[in-house]
Amino acid sequence: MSQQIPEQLSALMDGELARDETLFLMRRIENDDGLVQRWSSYHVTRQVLRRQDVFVVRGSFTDDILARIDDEGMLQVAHGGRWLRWAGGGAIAASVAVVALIFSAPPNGSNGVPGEPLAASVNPVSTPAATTTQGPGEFRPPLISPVLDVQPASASTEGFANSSTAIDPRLQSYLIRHYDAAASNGQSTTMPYVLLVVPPQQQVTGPSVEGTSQQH
Amino acid sequence: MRILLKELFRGIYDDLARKIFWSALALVATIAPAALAQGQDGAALLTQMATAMRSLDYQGSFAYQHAGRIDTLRVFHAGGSRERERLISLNGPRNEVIRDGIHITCIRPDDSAIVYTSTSGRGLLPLVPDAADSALGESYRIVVSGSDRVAGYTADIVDIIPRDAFRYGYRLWIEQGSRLLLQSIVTDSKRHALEQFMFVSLVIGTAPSDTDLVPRQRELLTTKAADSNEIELRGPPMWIVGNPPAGFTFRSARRYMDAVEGAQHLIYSDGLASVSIYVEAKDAESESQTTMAGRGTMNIYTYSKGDWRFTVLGDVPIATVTMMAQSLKQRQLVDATPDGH
Repeated sequence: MSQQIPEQLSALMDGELARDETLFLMRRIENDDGLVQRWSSYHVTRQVLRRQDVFVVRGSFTDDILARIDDEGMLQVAHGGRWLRWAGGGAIAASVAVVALIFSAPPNGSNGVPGEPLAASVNPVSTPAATTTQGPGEFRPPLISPVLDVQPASASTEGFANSSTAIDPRLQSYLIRHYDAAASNGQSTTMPYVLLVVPPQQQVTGPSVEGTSQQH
Repeated sequence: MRILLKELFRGIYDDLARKIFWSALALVATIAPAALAQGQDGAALLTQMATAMRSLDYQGSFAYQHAGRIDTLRVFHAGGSRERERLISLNGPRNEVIRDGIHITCIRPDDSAIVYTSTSGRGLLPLVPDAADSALGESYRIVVSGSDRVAGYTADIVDIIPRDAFRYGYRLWIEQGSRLLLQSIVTDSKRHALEQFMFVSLVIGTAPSDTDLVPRQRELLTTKAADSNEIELRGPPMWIVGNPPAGFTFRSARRYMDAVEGAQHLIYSDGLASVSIYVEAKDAESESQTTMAGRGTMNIYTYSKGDWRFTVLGDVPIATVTMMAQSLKQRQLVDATPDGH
């Protein structure tokens, strides 16, 4: 595998790959399981760094990306200049992200369905998650949080959306058994069982309070 | 003359070196016992706190800040030989957890409830490790950092500082009189706050009424028992973590009484943080996905291989669950990792 391909994959993740290069790359990926794995790794890494829930992209996703690129009538990068190129790249990345969510999310999409993430609700595909850097499902602790001596004082409207979503029953069982086993061994966490009571991570329905939501 | 000067300077240097040596020794002799005493004080505080959390009566409300949001909860606790307690969410959907002795009931917003049976009999609210765990010092440094005031009480501050990035750190505010935990902050290894809880109102020493320790509208509950209880395994487990992060060791293994052969629940710990590994028979092809998920500081790594589904979870960084998941093997040395690592 030449060095150029990984660089193109990386550029695609960053939304900086032109349409024609994207098409070329997708064709390469279709015939190279190693590239699929690498793309999946990039995706997982980004999701982890953003503290999102992660699904591994499945191998057939390239067809879906190509189809979406066609459907959305991609910008003609060659004549668009630098800004248009960036915009085009961003749109491609958005498509990729949306497709990744579509095809990596569980098929039935309700709580308790096997294969669904154990802990958090997944971004609905219809939300504009892919066009922003912060999706509604990204309610993880900020990557750049205040150091300990500066007491965190952030608050957010996120999570106050009214929902009857309950915790995944399998996760509930895992947590109960985990805390019980840990306590039996003389260890414990500092917040056992509280996760069973607080509402699960939820979709944002209103705007964040400026300056008090996630800090990255 | 030169010889005399050399002798003179040598005498001065020797004298200086001697003074420095004895000064350094005195400094070490002064600081080391103080640091040791502080560590012992911190460990003693943790032990006292664990006892207080189980034995005292208390009730109050606390804020739980996690994942960029704040939730508020109420807790009632009756200590003694048969602990009873109740934890209620005050915002969002109404969830409750009630513990009566060894029975733990989780009540969901739709009034359905599942009853679990605990074998440990430990409580719902923050707990701490047995500070007597000798391995704790290998992975953490315990420091008494000062005092503060929380929910109207004066508290000692204890820092539990991780020695590497495979575990979280904690800052605990422990009430000076009762040794009850008033506030806790979980940090990463760089001392960035990840989440915290803090009592905003608290009454210590007043037993909750019986009505405070039972579910609201108990008669409406649709209750069912959870799966059979786990039993402790004797002998070596079928699965092992080949390469756990430093400090994490195997503690115990459990299994459901009616589980298939090989389905087990392993517990690894560094003395404070615990990681559970669930090995279960895979139900369906849809369970083949590898997922990583987080909830608060809890991270969860799930994958499938062959007929098995593996779930690794714990209040530890994602790197820890990932490392343990990827080196999970059958004891017969058959690799069980998702990518064959």
